[in-house]
Amino acid sequence: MRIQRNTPPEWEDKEVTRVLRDLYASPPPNASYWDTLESRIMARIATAGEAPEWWGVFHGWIRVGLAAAALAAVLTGAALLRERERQERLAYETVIESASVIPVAGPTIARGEGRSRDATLRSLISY
Amino acid sequence: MLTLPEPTAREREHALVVAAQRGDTESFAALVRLHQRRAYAVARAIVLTHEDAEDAVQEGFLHAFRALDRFLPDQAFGAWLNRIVANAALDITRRKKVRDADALADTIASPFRDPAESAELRRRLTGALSTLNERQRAVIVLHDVEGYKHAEIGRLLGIPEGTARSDLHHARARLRQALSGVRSEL
Repeated sequence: MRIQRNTPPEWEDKEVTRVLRDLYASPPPNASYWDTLESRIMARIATAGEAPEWWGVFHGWIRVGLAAAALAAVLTGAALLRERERQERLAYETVIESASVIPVAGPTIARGEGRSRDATLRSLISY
Repeated sequence: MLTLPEPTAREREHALVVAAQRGDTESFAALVRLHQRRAYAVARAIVLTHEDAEDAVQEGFLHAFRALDRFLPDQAFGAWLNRIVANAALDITRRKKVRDADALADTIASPFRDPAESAELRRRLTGALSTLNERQRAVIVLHDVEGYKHAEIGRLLGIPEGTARSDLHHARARLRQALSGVRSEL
């Protein structure tokens, strides 16, 4: 084997492909090899069909889980609704109670001032 | 007498898929026979060893069998299967990340190689392959060895066509650099 420097890229591209093809060569087109591989694939499928996957254990619990989740959702909703109603009622009562002590706004006349005015009027009329 | 035309390969495959979907294991075995070579080639392009490629093919067919009821028979079964096998192979490479060049050189060499091949080229190329990431390596092997187009590689590996093109460019540049200055005359 002789080694040369500065090889043209075209040659190298072809050589890359050629060596890659050699490195990644598929098994020879031997019928027995592929028959064996097919048997192994089908055996694997058969074995996998017999032995359930680990998550298959949960399969039977799916309906129970869904029912429990639905029940939990209903209960949570009801609790939330009740709490909301309680808070609304509380807020309403607070408003009502505080409204009874609010002073009525409006013009008021002092008691003493009205009496003196009446006395003045009576005095004038009597003359 | 009216004779029916011979069903095409596509029609035969369609019939096998439909039968397999109905639970006919023999039909699925026939699909395995039809597609296992190509599936092996796809897996071999992604993983480093022959044994891992076989594992990926078995995993791929198993996944395909389990997902068969979700497959639309009008689609191309081979393309669908090869995507599953490619995913299985990528899973294996993620689990077994071999970065060491010597380890790669030992594992990648096929027992079916030509004994007259240049050892120097192979040594350099395997060394350079070990410096590529798994996706770049898969792209160049699928393109150069298996003859897939950029778009097909993109679909197989779940990456955009442009990414496949760019990966191929970088991988080829790296391998070309590794071979630069070496020329064997056999």
